[in-house]
Amino acid sequence: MSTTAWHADAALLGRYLDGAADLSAAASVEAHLISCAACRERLAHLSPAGDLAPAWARVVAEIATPRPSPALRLLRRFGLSDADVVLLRAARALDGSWTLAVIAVVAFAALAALSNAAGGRALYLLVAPLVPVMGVVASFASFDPLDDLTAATPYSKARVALVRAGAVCVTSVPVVVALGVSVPPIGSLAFAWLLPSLALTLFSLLVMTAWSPAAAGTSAGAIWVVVVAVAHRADEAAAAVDPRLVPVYLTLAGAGAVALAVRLTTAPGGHR
Amino acid sequence: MNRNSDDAVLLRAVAAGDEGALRVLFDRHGPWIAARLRRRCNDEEVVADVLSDTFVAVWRGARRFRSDGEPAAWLWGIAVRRLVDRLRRHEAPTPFGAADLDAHATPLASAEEEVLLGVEHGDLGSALGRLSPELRAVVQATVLDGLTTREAARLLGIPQGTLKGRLRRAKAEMRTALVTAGGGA
Repeated sequence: MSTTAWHADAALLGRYLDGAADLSAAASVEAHLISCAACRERLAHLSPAGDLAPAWARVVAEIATPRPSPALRLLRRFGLSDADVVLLRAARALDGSWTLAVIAVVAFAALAALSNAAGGRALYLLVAPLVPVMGVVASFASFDPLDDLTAATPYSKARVALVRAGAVCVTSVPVVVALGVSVPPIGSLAFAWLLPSLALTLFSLLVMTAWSPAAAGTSAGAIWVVVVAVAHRADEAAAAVDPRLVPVYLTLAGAGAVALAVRLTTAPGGHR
Repeated sequence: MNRNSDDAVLLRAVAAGDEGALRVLFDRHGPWIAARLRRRCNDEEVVADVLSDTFVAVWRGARRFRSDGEPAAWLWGIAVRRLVDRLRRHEAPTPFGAADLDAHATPLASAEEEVLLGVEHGDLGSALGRLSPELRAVVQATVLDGLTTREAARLLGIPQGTLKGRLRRAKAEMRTALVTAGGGA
């Protein structure tokens, strides 16, 4: 690359810094600088002092800021705003321990389905649709460190609800479906619970506009327990997600969405 | 680790979370990287952004440095790719410095430079000097900065096909120039 005896002189380095060296001279300097620490140092002395201070200040500020998780960074690349990233990071339901709890509970239900077909399927059906519901409820419960802040800022409640509920569903639904699919006796139940779960999630969000998250979670859970118990007594638990019931759940989900939209737009100050 | 440590030693210290080592690297390499960036982009704000992005990337990725490589080359590789990313994000107009375009008007210069080129590049230097500014920019981005054709096209704000065409033309012109110069010598 460069001969050992050759070094860029001060005049050449000065021309290079001023942008006055033509491409071939500049290329020579650049090729030489890569391998010659002495010339790099002389170039640094010739450069105007202090003009890199702002760049260094930015480096310090940047490396002192905690980084969001890889998943959040990916979302940000896809256009999620910084405010939403903060909101998601503060949602306790999205951290590792919650995800582990989901996996443990669903794995337990799936194992039960392996050992005893009918009862196990009922158990899986009981647990699976409630996972997103509980996640949504947990992400609004009062241990949210931003609770006071989000209550006091004019950040749309509907946006808080949608961002967090969306994030919970995106993280929990694949886990539950994957565990369901990997256990043969569960069969189509691995997917069948998604629609009732949507209806229940919307219902609990609706309840949360008036009552506490705990009350919303409890009531949604209780409703689902009753539905599955009735279906189990009458025939078989899977009846709770019978294809004929699809219109019913769709209607309930639609009604829940409309009611929630009305609540969130007309009563922005309501309890979340 | 101290102010006189080897770059590779400093990079290992940075990988271990030593902010002081990063500072030493910044003082040592920031000036020439900034100067080199300025030749490729005449927006001082972009240069400062890219410089800090580069050292943030060094902070996070220092453990990816292979200790058998040249640290300065590794740093420049990061910097020039950050520049490409930054220019793509902001869709800036092709920000080449006036110097690159003026170089055409003032063909080649002093005897001193001729000597330098004789040492560093020989006939290649004068062949390079005779290229038109667009062709030189392409050679600079692909050959000197080692960018891929896609990255170079992004940096120069031209389609990849155009870039490949210019690179072919540049090579042909330089080959002709070298053959002619070789015949004369």
